[in-house]
Amino acid sequence: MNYDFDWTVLFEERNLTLLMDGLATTLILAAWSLTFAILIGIPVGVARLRKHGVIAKLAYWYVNFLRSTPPLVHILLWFFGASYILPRPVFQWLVDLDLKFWTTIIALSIYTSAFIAEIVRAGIQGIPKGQFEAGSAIGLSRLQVARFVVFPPVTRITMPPLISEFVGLLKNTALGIGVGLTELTFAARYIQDQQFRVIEAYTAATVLYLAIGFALVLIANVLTRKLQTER
Amino acid sequence: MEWLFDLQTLKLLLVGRFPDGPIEGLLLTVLMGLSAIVFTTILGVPLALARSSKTRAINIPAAIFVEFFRAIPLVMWVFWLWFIPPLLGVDASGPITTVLALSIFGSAWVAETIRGSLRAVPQGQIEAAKAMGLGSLQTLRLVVLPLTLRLAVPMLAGRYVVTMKNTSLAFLIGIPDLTGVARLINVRYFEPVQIYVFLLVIYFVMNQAIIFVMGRFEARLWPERTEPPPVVIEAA
Repeated sequence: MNYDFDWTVLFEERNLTLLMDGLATTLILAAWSLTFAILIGIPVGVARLRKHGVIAKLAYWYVNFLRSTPPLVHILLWFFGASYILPRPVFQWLVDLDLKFWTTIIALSIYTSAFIAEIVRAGIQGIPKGQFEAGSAIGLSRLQVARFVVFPPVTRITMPPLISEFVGLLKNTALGIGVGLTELTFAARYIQDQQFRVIEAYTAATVLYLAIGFALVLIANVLTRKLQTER
Repeated sequence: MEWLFDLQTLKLLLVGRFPDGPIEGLLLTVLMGLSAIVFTTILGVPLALARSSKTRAINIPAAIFVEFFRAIPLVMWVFWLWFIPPLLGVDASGPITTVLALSIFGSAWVAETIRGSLRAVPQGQIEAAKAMGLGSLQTLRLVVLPLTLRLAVPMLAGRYVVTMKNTSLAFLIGIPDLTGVARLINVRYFEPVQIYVFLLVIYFVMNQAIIFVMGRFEARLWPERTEPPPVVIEAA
């Protein structure tokens, strides 16, 4: 192999900035997407608990459809289709902010919300029926039952799968490269294009992905243990 | 929707330039997806057995392989496999690179699925096999693996769906698979919403077909099981 390794390239200021900015974009993108995905996923997950009716059917097809479709196509749809789908002022607002960034967030939020909905549904179904009945028996309203009976154990049950969902989301942000989003994979790709440092650039990105994935698994373990002992 | 009713576009979407050129479009996606599914299964079973082995020299490398490949985005693997071979003087072919990346990445996930099912095989079955005088290889082949397969089918269906979804990554290295061809059509007609929603529907239908076929397969392997567990699909 005629390849001269030069690892110092990674520590040149320009490349270091590029990689760190890419890493930051990846993390921010994943954090925003997870937030929106949870906001959409909770009502869909609750709707999935119904057995009959239009809402139950809609929620079922929403989850089923999104889970069987590639996230990359969702990203392409929202990036190229935003000007058609969104109202003019909203679109203009996103263009002013950063169209690639925000359409990727929209796409990943919608895609991930289907998975969050399933986690929420499983979490609520995991609560024994007697607890709901006990809640209403002591005179709590439906909202109070949700707040005081359902919410605490559900957050505890759903925390580990939510974190693994976040890890999956972090990996899916790499698909942003499909629309030229300057996240971590793009940074590696850019260094490769500019300086032909293929192996160094990809090693750096791979190590960074491993590091954040590993850190999140650690956090998940600590959180799980903490939440278990709180019971 | 005029783009959909143009015969040339439709041909592009289905087979690309084939038979005058390479296979592209939907046909390429199906071929890549199915071969990756076969390879993930072939690689995943020994990997799961290795990870469940009691010998540390076998299970630790297997565990590292599995965790390492699952932790990093598939896009990175596709790029690694796409840009490294030229450095070694090997000409990489786009579809083969994609299938290779999907197979390695997917096999790590399939291994985890199979490992879970291996553990769920009742211990009594293994003891019964031993009591009947079967050797450990015979126990594996005649008792453990068939039972594991039966248990694993619904979860494998989920992994196969993910593999099929991930074939779209071929687009990122410029391969005109289904997603790549859709982009070409979009450049020509500029109807992104219609074209990409249609694309989503095609992927959806393909994946429902996978789930359906696996469901029938399970019904054959395990006719007594009247309520199989739901298919679990992961996000990445």
